[in-house]
Amino acid sequence: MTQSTATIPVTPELIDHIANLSRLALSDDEKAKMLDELPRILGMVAQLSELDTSSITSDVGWVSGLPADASMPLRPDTEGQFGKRSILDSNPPKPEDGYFAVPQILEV
Amino acid sequence: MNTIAPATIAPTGIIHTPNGDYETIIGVEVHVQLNTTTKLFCGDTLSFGDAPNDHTCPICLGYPGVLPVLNQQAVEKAVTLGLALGCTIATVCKFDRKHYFYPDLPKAYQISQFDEPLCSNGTLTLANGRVVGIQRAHLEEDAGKLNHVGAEGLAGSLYSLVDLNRAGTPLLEVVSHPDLRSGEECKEYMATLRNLVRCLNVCDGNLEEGSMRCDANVSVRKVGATQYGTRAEVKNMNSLRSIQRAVEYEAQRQVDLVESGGKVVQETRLWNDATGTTISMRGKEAANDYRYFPEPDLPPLRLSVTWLEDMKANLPELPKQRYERYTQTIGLPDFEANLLTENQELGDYFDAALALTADNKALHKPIANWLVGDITAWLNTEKLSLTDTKLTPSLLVELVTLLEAQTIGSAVAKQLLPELLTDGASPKALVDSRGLGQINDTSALEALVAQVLAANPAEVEAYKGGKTKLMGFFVGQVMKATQGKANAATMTELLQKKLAE
Repeated sequence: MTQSTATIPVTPELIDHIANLSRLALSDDEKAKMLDELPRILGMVAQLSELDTSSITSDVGWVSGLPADASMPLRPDTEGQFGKRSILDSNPPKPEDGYFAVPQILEV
Repeated sequence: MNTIAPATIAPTGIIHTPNGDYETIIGVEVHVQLNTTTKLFCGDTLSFGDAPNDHTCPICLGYPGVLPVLNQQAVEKAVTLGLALGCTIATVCKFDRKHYFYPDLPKAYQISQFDEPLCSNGTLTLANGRVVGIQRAHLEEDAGKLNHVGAEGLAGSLYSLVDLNRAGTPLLEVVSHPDLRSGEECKEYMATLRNLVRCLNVCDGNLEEGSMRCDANVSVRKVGATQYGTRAEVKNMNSLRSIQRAVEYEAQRQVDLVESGGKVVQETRLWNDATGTTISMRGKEAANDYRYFPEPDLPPLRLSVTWLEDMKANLPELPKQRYERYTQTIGLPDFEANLLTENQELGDYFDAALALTADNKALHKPIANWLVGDITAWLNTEKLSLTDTKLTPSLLVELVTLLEAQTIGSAVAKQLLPELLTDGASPKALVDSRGLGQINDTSALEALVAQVLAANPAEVEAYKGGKTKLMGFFVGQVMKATQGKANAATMTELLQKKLAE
């Protein structure tokens, strides 16, 4: 189902693309390090995919100890108030009239 | 700059140009907010317009270490809508993480369903008989809302305020095939879907408040072409009318662009209702790369056969079935059946009245007539809905029973109606206490007719001379003399007889 990870060439452009998607500002040194490390990480993942897993259904072992035919637990549609609003308000910087304030999204 | 002759849009979505005709191709994605009590993965209640962040907790705020637990009611409402759309319901499906960074999404990923939607392969049939394919309908969580400070919108704002009350609200995203062919058809599709979600009680269907949000993927191609053109996604339509206008505008924009040698680019465009135009929204951003992967916090969702069978058995009567019952069993004309089906409240009211008159079928059509006629007209004038009135189904049945028994005439019933709607008085008690009973006695009516004719000799002369339209005048005079109480049929007959002498 998935493309073999070993076939993806790790280029400086790919590093930039992933850094951009992840909102990471990498220095040139860090990019160079990634360029070296990422192919090896992908290589290890590719090695894992050599295992024959054809007899194993995709959801077995999702949660350790869960039977193969188990469903995720569901909760009834009833209110469960967290009730500690002050904690939620104390964490974010600069709350304003109950809102959380975030920096400018589009730079002018 | 644009030298292209103005094109015209036919209701069919065909746009004519000197170089040939274009057709409009539209597929829509509708985000249906499920009207559960609590959010999809945590116990905060759903709200609209409450104080910011009053309905939040560490789960929907995306705190580290918290775990989502799926709301069973949300699954049931999603399956209910899926079944009503004739979808295949997956007995096993999973959730996935869709990643993007935006301040309205605290976890920086949305829990959604990527390749294993809960519902797939359904249809929605429009009033004109067109069958629109439903590709899929999947469960996901809604994002929060942003208020931009220092400018009208995002552009030019200094910073933004985040309200996460909506974050985590259950959504069913219903994705159609590109089967729609005009703005009008998109509007019709949305109206039909809205009617359905209201009938099923899975969503309040309020477009203005964003309970149902529609994104339209619009493209154009020369009539006869087999390949689709490049599509643009149009967002931000918050009424049925704006959906139609946005699609029509966007199709025209694309045809003008292509005809003047340009190329349509795949992008998201924002509809502006005030200017009646769409503008590019994410032109500079790279193509979306959401890096979906299976949500590791949630094992697969399995629907047992008994659960699924229970949900099927609990499906209410669908609008299409209600329409067929009204036309085929009750024998209502198409127009009335449609109105009673399109308006859930009116239809439910009608059904309540039907239940009270199961042994008197003769009353069914008159009840329907009053509901879609005089009552609807009054509600429209007063800008009220049926629930705002005091006229219960049993009082309406009482009124129609008086009419059918010829105890009162329709003129009196029409006079009484506003009072019944606002005060909830018993029509029978009003008729008795005010002496509004219909005059059915032939000899009394004969005397009245004779009086009216004697008082208007000139009109009688003219009538006899061929001005038969004056019959309306004589009827009006008798009605006036009796405050609307004369039996119209008997009185008209008597007038005709007298005037023929």
